[in-house]
Amino acid sequence: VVYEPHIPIDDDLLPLLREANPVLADDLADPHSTAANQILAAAMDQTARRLLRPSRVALRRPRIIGAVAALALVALIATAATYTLVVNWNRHAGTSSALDCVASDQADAHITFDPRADNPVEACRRAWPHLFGTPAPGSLTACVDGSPQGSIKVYLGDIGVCQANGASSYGGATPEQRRLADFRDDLTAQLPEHGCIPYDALQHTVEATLAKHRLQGWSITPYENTGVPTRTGGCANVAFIDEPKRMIVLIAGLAETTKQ
Amino acid sequence: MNDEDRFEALFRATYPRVLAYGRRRLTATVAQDVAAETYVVAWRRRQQLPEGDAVLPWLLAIARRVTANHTRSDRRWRRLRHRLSAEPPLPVVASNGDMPGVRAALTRLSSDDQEILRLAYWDDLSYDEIAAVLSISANSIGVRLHRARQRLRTHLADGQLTQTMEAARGV
Repeated sequence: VVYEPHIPIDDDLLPLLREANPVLADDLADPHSTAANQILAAAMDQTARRLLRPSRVALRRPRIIGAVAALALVALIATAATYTLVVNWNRHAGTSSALDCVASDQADAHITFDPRADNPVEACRRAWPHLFGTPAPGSLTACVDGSPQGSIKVYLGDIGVCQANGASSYGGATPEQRRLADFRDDLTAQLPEHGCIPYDALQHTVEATLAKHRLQGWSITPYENTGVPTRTGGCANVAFIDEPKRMIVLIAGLAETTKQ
Repeated sequence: MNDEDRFEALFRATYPRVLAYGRRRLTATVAQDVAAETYVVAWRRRQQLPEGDAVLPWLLAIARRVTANHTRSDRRWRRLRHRLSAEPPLPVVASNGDMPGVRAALTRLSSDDQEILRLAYWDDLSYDEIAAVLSISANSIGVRLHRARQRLRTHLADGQLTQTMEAARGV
């Protein structure tokens, strides 16, 4: 065997590396494409959720000293009541398929979550080194935040961190949330990897799958806010599942259906 | 300009490169998911959005974490599927026969080496931008890149030797 290496020096290696690039500058995606609009719409959909968060209400300064004392007393009672409620009250999450691992005010990570098989603290603990580049801390606590969607947040610290963050402690998954996870898996298995499902066929499949998993009170609705036509032909897909509103949102007018 | 308009402008300006980041590391479908998740997180943290050129590395740092999370989940899923079906696990990255071993050699490097080379030569980021994505000092980027290139060269040479030997054996 005659081995004649022609190991490239740096100057030769760089063009080789660039040629191996699977996405060249000419192949960059169109930021105004249907897929891009879909992604932008999904991100901005957070708007409604954020706007619905409880806001801080500025207190007006009372003019009478007696009123100040009365307010202080009411505030004291309210704080004590809130503390009792928050510390002792486990709350179910409104959104059960994902959670946030919160490392600090400046660093959190959103990860998917299976409420049937996992618990939030362990899910974050396993992901922690990959997410934040440090070993998982000793003490983590799962809470449910005060937003209308009731997101699961895993904070550093013991049970008191839920209260400190205006949240309640996580009360585990409800039977409906377990059935919803089954529904997601079932629906995903029914959708083809690639191809085209018309809106009506997809709606029928979703309805049948909801019924199969005994998910009552759920609605199916077209997504009107993406800037692309809905229910006007093309291929359809599930845009997202709004668990707090019990709503399956479908999008149509796509060039091709790809599995979500 | 309100938050929504600002965010849309940012999205239109950066989406091609954020999506490309995913496509260079994942399948096309998963890359779309990673881009989507990246902008969900970005929107949530819009109050912390940096100004000007710092936006792209900030987004890519998010995309990197989302990718790491996805890859970890995917590995778990593959292991589970393998246990359930006893079918052989799929290769994570297939090498391209048209590229004489460069991609294959890349996959034999550590994930840190792969990432810094891809950020530099595929994503076309500057040293400062790479440092921001990786959350490390900009001063160390040059040394890390140099070492990663050295190791890549070693693997390329190994690959050539293997190919030469296989050719000699008629494999």
